[in-house]
Amino acid sequence: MAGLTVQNIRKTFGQHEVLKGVSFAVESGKFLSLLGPSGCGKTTILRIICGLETADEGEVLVDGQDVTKVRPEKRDIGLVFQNYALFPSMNVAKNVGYGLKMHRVSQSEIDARVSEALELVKLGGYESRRVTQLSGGEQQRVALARALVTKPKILLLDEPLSALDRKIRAEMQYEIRNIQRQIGITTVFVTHDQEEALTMSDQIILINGGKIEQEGDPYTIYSQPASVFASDFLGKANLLTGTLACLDGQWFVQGDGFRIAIKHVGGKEGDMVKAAVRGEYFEFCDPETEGANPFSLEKKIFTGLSWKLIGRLGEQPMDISALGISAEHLKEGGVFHVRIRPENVVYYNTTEEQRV
Amino acid sequence: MDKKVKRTFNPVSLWTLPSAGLLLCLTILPLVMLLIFSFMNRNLFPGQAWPGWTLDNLTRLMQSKTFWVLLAKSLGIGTEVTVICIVASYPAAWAIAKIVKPRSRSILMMVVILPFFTSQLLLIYAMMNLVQSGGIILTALQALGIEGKSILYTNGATVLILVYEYLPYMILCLYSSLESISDNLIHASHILGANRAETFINIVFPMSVPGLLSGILLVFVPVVGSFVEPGLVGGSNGMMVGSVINSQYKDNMNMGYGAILSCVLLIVLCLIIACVSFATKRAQRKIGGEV
Amino acid sequence: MSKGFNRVMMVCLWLVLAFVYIPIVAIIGMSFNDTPYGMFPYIFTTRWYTTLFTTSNLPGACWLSLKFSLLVAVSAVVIGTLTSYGLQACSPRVAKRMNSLIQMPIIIPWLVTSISILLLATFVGAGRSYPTMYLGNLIVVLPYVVLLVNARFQEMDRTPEAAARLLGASPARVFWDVTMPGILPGVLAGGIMALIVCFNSFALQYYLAPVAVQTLPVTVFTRIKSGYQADLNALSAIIILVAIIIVVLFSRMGYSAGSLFGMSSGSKAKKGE
Repeated sequence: MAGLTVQNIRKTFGQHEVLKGVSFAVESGKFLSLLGPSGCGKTTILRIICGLETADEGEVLVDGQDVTKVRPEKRDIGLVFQNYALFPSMNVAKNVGYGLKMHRVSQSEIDARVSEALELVKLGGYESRRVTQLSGGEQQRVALARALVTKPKILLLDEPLSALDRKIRAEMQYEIRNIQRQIGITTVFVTHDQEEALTMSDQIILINGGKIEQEGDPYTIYSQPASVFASDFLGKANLLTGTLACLDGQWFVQGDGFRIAIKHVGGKEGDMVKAAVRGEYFEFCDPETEGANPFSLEKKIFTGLSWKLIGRLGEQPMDISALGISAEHLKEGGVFHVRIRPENVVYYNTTEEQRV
Repeated sequence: MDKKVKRTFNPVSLWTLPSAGLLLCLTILPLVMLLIFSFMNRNLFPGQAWPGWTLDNLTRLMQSKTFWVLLAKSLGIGTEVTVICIVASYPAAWAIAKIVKPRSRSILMMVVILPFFTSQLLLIYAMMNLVQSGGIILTALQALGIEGKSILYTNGATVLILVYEYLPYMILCLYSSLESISDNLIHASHILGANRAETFINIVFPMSVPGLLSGILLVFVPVVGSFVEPGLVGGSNGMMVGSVINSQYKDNMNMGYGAILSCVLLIVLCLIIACVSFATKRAQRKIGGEV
Repeated sequence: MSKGFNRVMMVCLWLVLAFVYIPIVAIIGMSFNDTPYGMFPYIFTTRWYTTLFTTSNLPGACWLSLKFSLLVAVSAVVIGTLTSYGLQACSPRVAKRMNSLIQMPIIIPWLVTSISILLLATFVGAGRSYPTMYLGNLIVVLPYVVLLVNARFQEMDRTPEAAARLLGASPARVFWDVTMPGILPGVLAGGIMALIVCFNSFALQYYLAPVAVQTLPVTVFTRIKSGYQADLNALSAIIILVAIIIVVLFSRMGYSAGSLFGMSSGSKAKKGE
């Protein structure tokens, strides 16, 4: 199995600089997600890795070898396209076996390996079906089988699940990850869906405007986002504006009508900051409890999994996400007290919007 | 370090070169030849050396009344045929595009276009057959007691046959444009109070301009340049400019003169097409408002 | 839409169709008529068909035209398909220029095209000959092939070709395995169009064919000039039958009349929706 390294990739299309010096590495056998909004350049990175685009600057190394100048058909990298890109004039078996045919494998071996691959993606017996008659999910699996059957060094997936129904998406997320673990292939997965990235990856790279915003494992990125962009992209973050204050050695962020205790990592008293607090980190408590802040509930929305409580912490708008049981009894118009643990608050300076 | 040169050139695009070469040699170059031969001294036959230059053909052209008269006549016939085709095609194309059931549409259009797949000469022959003395039309009229003379061998016959040949093209072009106009637009226009004529002028016509222009191009140009039809059915007074040009090569061998006539014909056609295109687009903009 | 208006439009449509088809139907009818001149009396016979296939020189000319047209059509298909393939890889500006250029032969009157090519041929010493006629026909049918294959490329998904490359296929392999099957309908339609247009290209053959060579259109022309010819009726009927077959073929392949002529509308989306 092979590791992947991408060094200092720059790419400009016409007047638009799409990638501004991107570097990262994926360890052999690991699952990396490139996460970011549309247009951030993540698909371009993928295309540069497999050779369908050439970077203006920078190198791509597979297993330590520089493949930057190697033609796409020789790179031994598998790619699953967003729209599957199956060959309409061939049946499932011919589609899946195409790569093997190009590698001059004997027909009997092709047949055997194709069957194996189809079993792996749970489409055993589909060999002679027409690809145009398959459902989206089935086409997806054929595309995956086709990419894997040649046992490439790296597997790339370009938003493969975005065209699928929610339920099938969830299933496929699980299956792709399973298969990947089973085979142990180094994988790069491109998506704009943060939940998908969080669910499937060993490692997430957050990309914005052609640059890497943050790199880390899912939990860290989610709970310790390094910038306002990151915290907002990975789930709804409430942003509370306030100033840093220190009382008796305990640091706080103080604003209109609220005061939250924080873990101090930088900045001095009086600095204006934005504190990001996730809606699900709040606990209900009594007014006398240490760290309690008043929350006035304006609107209550049921989303199935939880209640969304829209209201104000002091004077600032905020959303709290609460599981069904704990929030059922709360009434709109009322005022409750909530607290949040200091380690769950992340704050940023207001100018660069980066962690202080 | 210098930036790598951006490779936006795809070598696959080189596959267009054979066509480009053919076009150059078989369309552009021949047109140049037309120009060159216009000023040629004597006729040239394969293998001979160049006979020398002269302006005789030009002077002859300037002094010839026949050519200019026939050119005007041909342009007139071209306009006549085009107008008749437009007038007949709008209702027919509209009917197919909007009134006929959607499933029958492509069948009907194939029916309309069928004559294209037969031979031009066959169509001429079929129409000749119909209108000649002893043909069906005159025989039928006779049966009704009406004495008639065959329209054959008159200018009228030429117009009739040309309309017959080119009508399907115009219908096809108009259909293509009209079909793409959503019914909702027509409904909206009516709801806002426009009557049928106003809807046509303000909504339908501007949107049918692309098809109209294609149609005019496909009809007017060949009609003006036609020589077979006037030759076969036009009679002794039926000559058109195409006939004159044709006779320079088939009857009296006058390559240079024929060449210069062809040049003039082409130039006139280009000018007219450019004017028509400009005028129609301008009308389209005036009706629709400046963008 | 009021019923009255619709009715008027439909009447116009039927009048136009009648106008177009009455002469054609008449010819077919006459081809079975024993009376050699004129319509009456009408006696059913198939003897003109027998004459056509035995003593007439028409079948010979027809066969010659067919062979020649096939040659032109195959050449046009190969060159045209490669051209269209190349055009997809050109920058949009260049592609637009090339497309306008390629359409030039369609809009120049065939009389002028024939004459100008004849002059060129004379100039280079070839004159009226098979190669000249071949090239002349080739250039007028090429645009049809390019237009039709272009249309096919427009609606085709190109990502499978990228997928094939990543699976190890060389560019030539990709073209053969993936691209060609995709554009095949366009290629076939282009080939048929080329065949028909060449088969019927009277003006070009009249000017460019070697002197004694009689292709079908030229033969028919001479015959028409000599007046009513009963076996010509029979031939006409056959040609009409072939045209019907071709039209049905095109319908089966899913072609609308518009797409055959490269009209831009062929898309499902309507303007204003």
